[in-house]
Amino acid sequence: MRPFWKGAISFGLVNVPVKLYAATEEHDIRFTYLHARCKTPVQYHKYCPICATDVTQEEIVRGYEYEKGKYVVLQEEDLEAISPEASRSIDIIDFVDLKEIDPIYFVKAYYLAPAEMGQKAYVLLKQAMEETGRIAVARVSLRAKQSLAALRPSGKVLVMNTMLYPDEVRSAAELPELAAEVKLHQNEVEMAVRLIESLAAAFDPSKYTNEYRAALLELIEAKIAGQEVEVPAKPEPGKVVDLMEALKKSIELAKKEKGAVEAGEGEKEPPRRKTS
Amino acid sequence: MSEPEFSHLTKVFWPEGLTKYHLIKYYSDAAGLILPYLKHRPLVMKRYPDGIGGDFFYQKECPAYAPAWVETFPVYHADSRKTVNYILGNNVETLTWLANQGCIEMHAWLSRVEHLEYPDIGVVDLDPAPGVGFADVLEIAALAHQALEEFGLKGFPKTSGATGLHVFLPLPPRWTFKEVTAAMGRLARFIVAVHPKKASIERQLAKRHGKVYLDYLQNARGRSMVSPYSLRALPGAPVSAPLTWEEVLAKDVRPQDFNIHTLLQRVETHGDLYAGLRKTTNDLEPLLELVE
Repeated sequence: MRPFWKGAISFGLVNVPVKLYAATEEHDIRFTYLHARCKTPVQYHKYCPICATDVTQEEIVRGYEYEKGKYVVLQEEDLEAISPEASRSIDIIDFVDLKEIDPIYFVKAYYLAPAEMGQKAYVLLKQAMEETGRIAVARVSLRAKQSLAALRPSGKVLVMNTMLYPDEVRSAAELPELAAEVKLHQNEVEMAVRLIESLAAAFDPSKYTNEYRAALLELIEAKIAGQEVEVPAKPEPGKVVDLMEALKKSIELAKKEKGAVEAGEGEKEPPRRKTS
Repeated sequence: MSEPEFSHLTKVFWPEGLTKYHLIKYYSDAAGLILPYLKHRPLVMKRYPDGIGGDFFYQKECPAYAPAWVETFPVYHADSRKTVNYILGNNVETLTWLANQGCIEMHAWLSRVEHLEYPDIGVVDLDPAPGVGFADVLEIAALAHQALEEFGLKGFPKTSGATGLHVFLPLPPRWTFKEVTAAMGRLARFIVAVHPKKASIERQLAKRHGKVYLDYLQNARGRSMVSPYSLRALPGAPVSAPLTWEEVLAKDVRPQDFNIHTLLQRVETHGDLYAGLRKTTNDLEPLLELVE
């Protein structure tokens, strides 16, 4: 693992130099979008419909749509002027009880490791948090984005979770389904509690595996082994043949109609529409 | 006749290292091939003084400084009320002189000065919208081939040298530009009607996004088409290369394969695939009868 950020935890007059590692990684199986007909990976183009041309990165500016179809353009300098200072510090604001934070606020987890000369201060902070049973709420700037974070000890390491701001969490009061009053009988509650207790177990993450991913990998392996492999191929002519027929027929029809009209022009009466 | 004089021969014209020398040499070597398709036709220069990476401009009027052996022909344009003295690509000296002027692409009228108002070529111009591949162009070309056949017309396909494909139809100089345009428009409508997903005659680019444009309006008076065997100002120095219908129908064509390096060799093995253009004559009447 490689740290992607170096800085310091700061609270009061104390500074704890730390390195930041991502604590999680995704194991999603990624698919490539292919053109169904020829199995070629499709390309994404940034396209301007007015200029009828592809647009390069240098030709792109950021716009904010303040009302339908109207944009203000924000230049790189504008954004830099208000971006949070790259303070390289994790500023602790409060120490709170972990139970007080609803997990809904947690976004992404990082490991904090002690940086050079920071070993002692790191262990000291961790142990003090363990003894008080409190975790730290801090403000941190990562990748030009300021976010809230929670720092907590977990075994030998300090874990930092970035957190949502309160206005990013929707209120459950907006769910209409929860408005109804429900009366429960004491017996029902007791039965449900007993059911839960019978399924109670210690949390063992190794028990849970991603079955869908395993099944998907198996399917892919089988397809490769069974030579059911798609490579970009030349389009089949089948559809074109049908179009050829359609083209022939429509031209024949046009010729016939023309012929019918001309035959009609020869007569004295106006041509009558064929009914057969 | 004085010899043409060449200048700045080491100037890079294609970033991959081809110079103005290569440009002039190509037109000198290919003169016998290309001249039959330029002779007696008003020619529009597409000049790139600084190679394909620099600015370009179209030039119709023959510059006053042109040598005496550059033949010209005056054409009156009613819309601008101006007479333009067009260059005629009548001889090899003119061709290499044009190349020395930085004229990479040779665009010519579809009529000859003997019958200026009566084109002797009709064109089916297949022009893919940005992002549309050559496979789609070939698919529409196959439909065009079928449609022409239904009317007993014989066309000659070629790559545009860029992203498109042209079919030239040799005509007796009997119909006006308006009539040829109408006939080619009718033909295009038959194709669009059966394959509207991929073929379009919409002039507005936004309305033919993802489709191949059948630009029948290229048959109008004053328009010019890139000549067979003309170079294109694109990377790889591609050439507008005549094709066989077999190649088109087999979808076995990659436009970039025909270029300044390969074209003459292809002609050695395949011959001039456009030679038949001068021996064929077509009758547009059956198609014109269906024009509303």
